[in-house]
Amino acid sequence: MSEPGVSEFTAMSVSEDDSAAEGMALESRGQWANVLHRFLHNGQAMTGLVTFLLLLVVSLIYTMLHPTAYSALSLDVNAAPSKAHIFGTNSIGIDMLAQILKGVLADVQVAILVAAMAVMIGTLIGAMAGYYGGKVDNLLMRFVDLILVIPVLVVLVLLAHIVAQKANNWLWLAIIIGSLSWTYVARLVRAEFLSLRERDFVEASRALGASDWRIISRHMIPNAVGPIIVNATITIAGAIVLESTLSYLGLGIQPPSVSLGLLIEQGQNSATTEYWLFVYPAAFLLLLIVSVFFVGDGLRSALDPRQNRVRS
Amino acid sequence: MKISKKIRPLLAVVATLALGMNALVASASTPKVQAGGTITVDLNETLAGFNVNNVNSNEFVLQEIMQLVWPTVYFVNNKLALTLNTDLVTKVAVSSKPVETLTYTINPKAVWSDGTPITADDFIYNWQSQSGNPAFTDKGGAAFQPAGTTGYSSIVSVKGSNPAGGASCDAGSAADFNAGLCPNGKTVTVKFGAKTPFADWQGLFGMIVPAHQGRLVGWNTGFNINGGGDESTLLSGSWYYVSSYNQSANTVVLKKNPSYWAKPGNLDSIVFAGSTDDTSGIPGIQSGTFNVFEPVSTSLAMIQQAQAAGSSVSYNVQPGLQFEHFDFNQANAYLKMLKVRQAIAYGTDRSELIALTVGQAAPTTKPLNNHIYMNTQPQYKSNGNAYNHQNIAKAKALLKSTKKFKLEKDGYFHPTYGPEKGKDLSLNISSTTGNPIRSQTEQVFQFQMKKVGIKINIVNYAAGDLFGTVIPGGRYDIAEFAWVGSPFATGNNSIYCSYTNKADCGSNWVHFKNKTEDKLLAEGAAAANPADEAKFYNEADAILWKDMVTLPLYQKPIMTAWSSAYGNILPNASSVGSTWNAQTWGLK
Amino acid sequence: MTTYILRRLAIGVGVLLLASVLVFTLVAESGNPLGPLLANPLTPQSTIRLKILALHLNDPLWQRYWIWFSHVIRGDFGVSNNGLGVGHQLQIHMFVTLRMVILSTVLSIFLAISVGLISALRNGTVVDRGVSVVNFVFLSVPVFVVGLVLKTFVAVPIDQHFNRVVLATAGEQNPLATGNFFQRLPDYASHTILPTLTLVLATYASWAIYQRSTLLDVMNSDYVRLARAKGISPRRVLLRHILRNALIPVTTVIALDFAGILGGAVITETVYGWNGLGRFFLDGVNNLDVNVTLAYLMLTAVIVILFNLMADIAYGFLDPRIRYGKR
Repeated sequence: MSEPGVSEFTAMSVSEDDSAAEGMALESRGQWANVLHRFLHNGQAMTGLVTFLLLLVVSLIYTMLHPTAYSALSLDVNAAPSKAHIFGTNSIGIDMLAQILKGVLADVQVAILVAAMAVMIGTLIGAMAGYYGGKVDNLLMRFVDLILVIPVLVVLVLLAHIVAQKANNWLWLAIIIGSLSWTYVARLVRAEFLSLRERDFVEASRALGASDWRIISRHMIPNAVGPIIVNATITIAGAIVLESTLSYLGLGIQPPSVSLGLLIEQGQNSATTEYWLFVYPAAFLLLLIVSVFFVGDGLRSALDPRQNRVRS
Repeated sequence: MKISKKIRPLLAVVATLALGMNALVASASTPKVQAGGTITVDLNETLAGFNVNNVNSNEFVLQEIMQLVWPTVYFVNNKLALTLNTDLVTKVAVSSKPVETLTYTINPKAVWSDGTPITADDFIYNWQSQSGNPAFTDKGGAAFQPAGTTGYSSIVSVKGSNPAGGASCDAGSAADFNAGLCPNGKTVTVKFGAKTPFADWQGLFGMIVPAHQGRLVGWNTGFNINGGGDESTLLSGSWYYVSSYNQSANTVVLKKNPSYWAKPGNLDSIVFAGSTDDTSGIPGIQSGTFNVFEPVSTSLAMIQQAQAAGSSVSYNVQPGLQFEHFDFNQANAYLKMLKVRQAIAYGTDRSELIALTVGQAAPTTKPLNNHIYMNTQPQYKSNGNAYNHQNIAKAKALLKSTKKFKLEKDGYFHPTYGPEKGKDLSLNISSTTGNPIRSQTEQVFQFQMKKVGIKINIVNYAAGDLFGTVIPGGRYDIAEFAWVGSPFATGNNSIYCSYTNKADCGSNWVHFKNKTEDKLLAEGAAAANPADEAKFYNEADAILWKDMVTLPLYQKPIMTAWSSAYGNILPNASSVGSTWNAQTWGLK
Repeated sequence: MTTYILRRLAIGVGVLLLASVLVFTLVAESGNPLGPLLANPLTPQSTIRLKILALHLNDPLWQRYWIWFSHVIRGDFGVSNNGLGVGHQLQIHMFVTLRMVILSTVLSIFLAISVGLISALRNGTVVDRGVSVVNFVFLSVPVFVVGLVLKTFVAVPIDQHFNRVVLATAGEQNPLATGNFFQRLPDYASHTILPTLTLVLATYASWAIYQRSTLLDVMNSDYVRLARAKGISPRRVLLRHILRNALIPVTTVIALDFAGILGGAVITETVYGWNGLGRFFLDGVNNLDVNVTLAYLMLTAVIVILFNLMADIAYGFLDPRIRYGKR
């Protein structure tokens, strides 16, 4: 099971007019500077980046200064937000701010690992499929089908008994999700490679005797890097959403660890009576995911500026 | 680590709780209710078949439904007292010589809804199907799959008055039945074995399956109706019958049984439908989606929701018959020492634990001091008073006195032997995942044990795993889960008798062995009268405390909420649930 | 093209089989489905033994798989752990879920295309920016959060204000409702509004974003600019050139996403207490029920394979440089 909506960014990057890709092949260094320039001047993207970094930095610093605050019980249970606890406390007296920030870290931790795995596996498989074509492509794409067919939910519920009991269950969770989330990147890279390998410079390199691997790594992957990065950020956002959904079903990160999804699940009954147990975790989750999406969208439009032209 | 000493005023909660209780008391003085009408009870489990005595369908919500459809001999009322159902059985005679013998006299007017009289045949069939005796088979020669055989397996014979021979019928032999081959007398004689008397006989013959139907359609799967017409398979012998079952929507509609021979039910129909999770409960009552709601677990948030709902929602929180406890695996190298278990028990502050978890929803919850009987049962005797208050000094002293542990600078004890020699004494506590109260309990326990000097790791499993392989396989140190108590104590035997007896003591997962305990449990199960039964079981309980076999924590509070428009709703903590008197419910 | 389709279908069957083997092994080895029964001290040993026999728990893995396989070939999905027929259960639960899913998908498509169109036509204006932010918010919010917020902060206050059930929050229908379909329509509507709204809000955003960008691509493409330069009216340009070309890519995306919609429906059903596939499946997987889990897998797998095939064919039309078969 995947949240609806992640795949379209894949297709989005396979644009009809690949002049941008061609341009990048010829003048790669200058182009990246342009990309950076466009990104930095994109208000929405910068807002997202700043928000995300702010969340990350604040969470890191707070957790370093108060490493055990997220599990510190007290008798001050279900306290409404006050000066002592700006987001209130939960039903065993733990400070909600500490739990929320720790949850942010946990979510980001899982998501980055998932994205890293997805990018590595997906790029490898997509590159091989797109470059070699033919039988290799067929086999690999059927492998992709196999992965797509098996619902993440089934795997996670069934592996829950291994995952839930481990002390670092976030790692296992991330590995399982990551090993099932690379299919979009694979399709994307494959599509890029399929169109790129007809290019003259590829023919030329081959004529010069360059090995397949050199062609792939030196000439083709760099051209696909843009969409891959965009997709990686989307995968990060998607992984956070997936983990919080799993926590809602009780299959994600287990207490006494925290994640934002778990906090929402724990606070759902109290939405009207102790609103801070539900509203603040939900707000932070939303903020986190939206900021990542803003960054992803900013990267996408920085890499492909024609989208931003006003209709003439 | 400092604990903030600010305690939120619980007075507000207690005051409103009292208000809720007042509503309860007021309604208990039988208000006049209107005749007729309908009510909707929340059904929060999917139904799988209707034979509630079969292992596949033995759900709590199904019991709530079927007790209104199939007749029961003894009722458990909301005070947990047993009363004879004189509509079904006009009198019961008990004798214990030469063997325990029960003689039921069935009401001559009692009939099933298809006109067939309720006779000894029904009692014989229900005994055979739940006896666990392979000589009796279901339709097609398959073995019966009962949910429980306790008590029935101690019965040696059940005979009807006419014909005296009590020949059994062939499956599906309605003709035989009409020809009088099946016993169809109105007097039933039940004889127990000479060596197997059974003290809790009043719990037998509940929700009696109609024999002639059962033989025809099959006991195991014949009552797995699909709805849409085949509801007629479910004959009724009580106030209501199943008028419709919508399998896709998971709803059941009961209507008044026109063939009922005694005082009929008050409401015209009772509908079971509704939510699948607790968050929809109080909003469901407020929106009128259903009128009675019994959540799976009670939380403070739910109580506050009910309070905030105002006068339209009445609710009641009372101790249920499930009790939460800690199991100590005596196969563990350290837990096998009595002093270690006692140290843990002295180090656990049960009151604080309760206050931080269930106590928020039910502030009157007290620590439970008996393994067999609950605080609310008349037989309750507090055998665990020694552990009422946390005593860290004593816990530490106990550990030191074993001469096998040394208290180190980091605050933890280090054992001088075993797998953790030289390291912090660590024990795992395991429970079910996805249960916030349990995970909070584990965190509080971890915190308390730190003060004693024991490191606790929390390792949880999915329920199927925990009970399927982890606990029975002994792969745990301390386990937290709940047992279900009942007015019938004999169900406890297989938990506490010596684990070496694998056949009878399959639920003893703590590796506890004690000959005196075995003797007392057996005497309790065979006791001739309730007073003796209580005496033996309480003595058995005292041994469990002396040996610190398991540490009971508290009776789990259960909440019932209902729409204030209805009267006579009296929550019942036993497994029969709040529909125990549904035949008297009505609109105010 | 036909050979290509047939070949993909044949391979799809192969993938299906392989997936079934993997999932079967996973379920069968994940633990003991009789756990809760064993936890109950009242369950007699004889019953446990009978259940072990009935569920073939002591048989070797390949034999258990073969039992399942040989039944499925004949269309028999077997019996669940508690004795009910899986095929029948699947049918009745599927109708419940499909009701929600089909309605939501259709509404989402309309919403996404409309919103995408509006944004693209008003590209660069405040409307465009505002709509984009809203889209991103709904893209980010997990399904269950939308559901919970709608349930708690919309349905309950509205119902209390009108003092009756306007927006039902639990179940798919009122069990006491009588009459034919049209008489029960208000009741169905009351129960279906919130879940459908939840699923629509959770689904439309990515399609809207994608539709907007596709539209902008097409609107700025050379042949559209040529058409404008030739003097063709903007409306004709929109209808004949832009929309026709811009709608195809989004359908491929929708096809690929369909499995995700099913996943979203599972969560929505949990939030609103619908007795659909989601609950059936979640219960089955939690109970380590092989027959139920595999039946659900078969269903979703067939959908994923078919829809992926459709998306790939549409891709082929879209980008003729992607040739099928060997180079």
